[in-house]
Amino acid sequence: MKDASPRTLLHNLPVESYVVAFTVVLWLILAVTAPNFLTGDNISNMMRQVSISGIIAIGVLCTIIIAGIDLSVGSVAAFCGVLVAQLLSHGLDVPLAIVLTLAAGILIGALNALSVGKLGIPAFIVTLAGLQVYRGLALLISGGMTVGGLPPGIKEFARGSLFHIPNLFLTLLAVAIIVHYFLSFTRTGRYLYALGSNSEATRRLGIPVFRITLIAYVLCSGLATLAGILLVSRLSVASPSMGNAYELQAIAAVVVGGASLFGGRGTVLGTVAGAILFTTMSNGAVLLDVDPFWEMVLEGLLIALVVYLDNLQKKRLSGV
Amino acid sequence: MGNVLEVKGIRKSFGPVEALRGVDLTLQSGEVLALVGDNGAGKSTLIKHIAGVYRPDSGEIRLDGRKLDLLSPAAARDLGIETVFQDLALADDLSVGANIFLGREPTRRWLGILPYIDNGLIREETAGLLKRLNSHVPGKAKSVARLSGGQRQAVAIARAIYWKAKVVIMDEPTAALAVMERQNVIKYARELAASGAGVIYIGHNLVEILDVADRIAVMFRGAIVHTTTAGETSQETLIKYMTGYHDKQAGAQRPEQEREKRHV
Amino acid sequence: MFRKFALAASVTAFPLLLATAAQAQDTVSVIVKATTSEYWQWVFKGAEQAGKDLNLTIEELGSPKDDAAAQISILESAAGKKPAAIVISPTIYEALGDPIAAVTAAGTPVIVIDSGAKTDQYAAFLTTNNETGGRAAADAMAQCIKERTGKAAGKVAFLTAMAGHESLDSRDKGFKDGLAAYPELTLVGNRVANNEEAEGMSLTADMLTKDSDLVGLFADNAQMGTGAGTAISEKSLGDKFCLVAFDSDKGEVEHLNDGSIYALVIQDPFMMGYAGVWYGYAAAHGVRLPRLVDTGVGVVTKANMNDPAFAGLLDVTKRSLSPFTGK
Repeated sequence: MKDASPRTLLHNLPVESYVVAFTVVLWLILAVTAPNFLTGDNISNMMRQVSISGIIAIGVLCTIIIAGIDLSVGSVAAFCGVLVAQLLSHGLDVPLAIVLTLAAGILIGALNALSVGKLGIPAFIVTLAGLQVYRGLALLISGGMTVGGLPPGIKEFARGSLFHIPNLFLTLLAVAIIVHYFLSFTRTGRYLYALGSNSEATRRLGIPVFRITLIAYVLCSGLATLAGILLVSRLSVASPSMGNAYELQAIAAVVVGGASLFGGRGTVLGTVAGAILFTTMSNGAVLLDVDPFWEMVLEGLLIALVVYLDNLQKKRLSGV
Repeated sequence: MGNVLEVKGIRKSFGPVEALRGVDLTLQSGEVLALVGDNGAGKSTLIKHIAGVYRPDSGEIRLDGRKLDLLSPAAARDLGIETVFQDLALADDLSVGANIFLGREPTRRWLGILPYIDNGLIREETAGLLKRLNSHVPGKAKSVARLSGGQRQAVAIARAIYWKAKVVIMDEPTAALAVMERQNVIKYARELAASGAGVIYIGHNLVEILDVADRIAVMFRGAIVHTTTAGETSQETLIKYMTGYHDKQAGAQRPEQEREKRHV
Repeated sequence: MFRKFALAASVTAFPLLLATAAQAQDTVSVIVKATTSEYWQWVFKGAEQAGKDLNLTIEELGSPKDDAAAQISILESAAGKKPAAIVISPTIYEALGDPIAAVTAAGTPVIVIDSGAKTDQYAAFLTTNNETGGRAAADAMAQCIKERTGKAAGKVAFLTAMAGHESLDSRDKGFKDGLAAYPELTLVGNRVANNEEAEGMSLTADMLTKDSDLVGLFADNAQMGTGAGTAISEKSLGDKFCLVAFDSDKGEVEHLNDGSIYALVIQDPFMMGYAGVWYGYAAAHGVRLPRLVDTGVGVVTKANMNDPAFAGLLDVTKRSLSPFTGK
């Protein structure tokens, strides 16, 4: 065994190293070029901005690891956000409204898992339908209108902070730590990777494949629901247009964070780093007054570049 | 050593097609039994019965003398029947150790509460196993994706050895391998038998079969038509049985063959 | 101010139509830009009211998001059912021109509302002059800055909900033109969001980081207004900062109330839907219509938001207006 060779060393670089390196470089550049970048205010702004998209991305990561996908997360966030707002505006207690809404989100995840795991419909199709269905339901239960008049306590959470760290970011950290523990240290978490790697082998080893699928989709929809509730807290109203195109941001963060769309690979650390990278880009574009259209082009090119480098590394290491 | 596995009178039909027409087979601990036959002879159907994928229409399978009932692949594995499949049941993105322990990970608890997979133990055991197989598998590789076909066989076999499988089914393990690696796989099969398992080895390459096997059973059209020890047969004899040529010869051979079959 | 009652003068033939209205249950299709926005729901509410008044079936159509291709398909399939008339708000000026001309050529009268399309083959165009609205926003912002600092001077910026939308572009152009009257107000930035509240909020916070001395921001639709208003409210800048936003959904009205938004430039979507259906019905019965009708814009501040004239505009549930029947 030649463990010490440079090849093996590179090989053992974590998959998320590129995105972390990119983010650090971008932070250094911005720290030099944008005078207000490294201010407490701006960093606290970015922490708030990354939280909701980061939580959604961690959920989507779980489905991508099992070689699935969830395109419905943005719509689920909108639907559940409107749902919790409607429950609250009808006078329900805050904890009860949140529990009921989370239950609805878990049910959505279970339905996705049933459609994928039992009916055998491709996840892309199931969740593409969900993208429409839950946006439609958000419109239906809101009558197409913004839902306001929420109890003041709701917006306090998103505005509050603990030791100067915004509550929203603390929520993201808690979610990241729990899901990281689950994926990296528990047997069920490891089976997510096994399933995404080789579903037939996983089945033959007697691992309950449907249960694993169920856990992945329920986690994803549950986290999208949590994100929807946090969005309502942040905006202090619920609008059926919330969460538009969040699924694409989430997938971008997951993929840039080193996950494979073919399943089996991906980490929470990489995903959070991916989400931070995109938030930094968007923040930096405003601070440096980059043309908004160029910003879109740059973000697209970045996705291509990071994934290309990742593939390049894999090819070189496999000796091709 | 005694019979670890006994297959008695297994019959199986898929619609009008009779895939198995009363198969009898015994396997002893510590031996490699090669199962040969042309495509469609029923080899795959037979091993899928043993591995718990199919249930027979009639007949029975006994492991250590106990009848196996309502078997599923997971239950078969729990009882000690391990299968090394043609397309290899490895999860590409997991490490060697994670693959060997997949589905049976040892866990410990943090502060007696929070369970976590004991990766230290997995690494240790994996290193020992790979050393024993003398396999040149990089045990610390992050994923098995880049391992060669032979190395992947080694991982699958290490899994069977570690879990002290009683019966290991190797389904065309050398089909996609380079010549050098075939030699290694034959070595692994012998190592496996030496560790006390009964090995059923399915293959097409008769040279290789004669090299690896203690005994050889030939299947033809859903039945075992000939059983012999490797030292007492030749490629020509095996081919004669595999192609059904023996059928066309004098009827006098038939009773002899039937008698042989009963002795299996 | 609102010139909506000018509408009444042009529809003197309508009472004649009312006599026949009760007999046939005609259908008028109303196609909006995006069903996910409160603004378009108000258009539907107005259309429903007109449907009741005229005994018409109203078919409410539109894609969830501003999607020109989807809107063309919706228009084509609606026209295929041969309704009495179609009321449409084109998503993209260039894209909807030919499809609208084709529907007109096939004999169904088309009433264009809110935003224009690149064709003259329609029965009537009812719109808010978005440029006028943008100019009104610039005036309101200048007034606010003057009230708070003594003179209309400082850095201002604007937030565009989406790129390439005719009515938004007109608002932004009107805002920029309007600023020209205040030489000491300098425009320092423009960001384009994804028509999503949280993104509007983030961009507002980032613009304030970039220019901490920013004194005014114009948000050009309801989503941006809600997002920007939340950012201002989170930073408790309401009494220092001059945020002016278009439209009036619940989020914006809440922020108008808590002082985070200084002024809302409001249109009358209810009237657009209401009059759109009336016009369509009239056109279907051969009534000659004025080609262009301005439904007007108004500026609401916290000071005048409780004025009865604005009650039905800020909250459609308070709307009891049926101007032509008086019910």
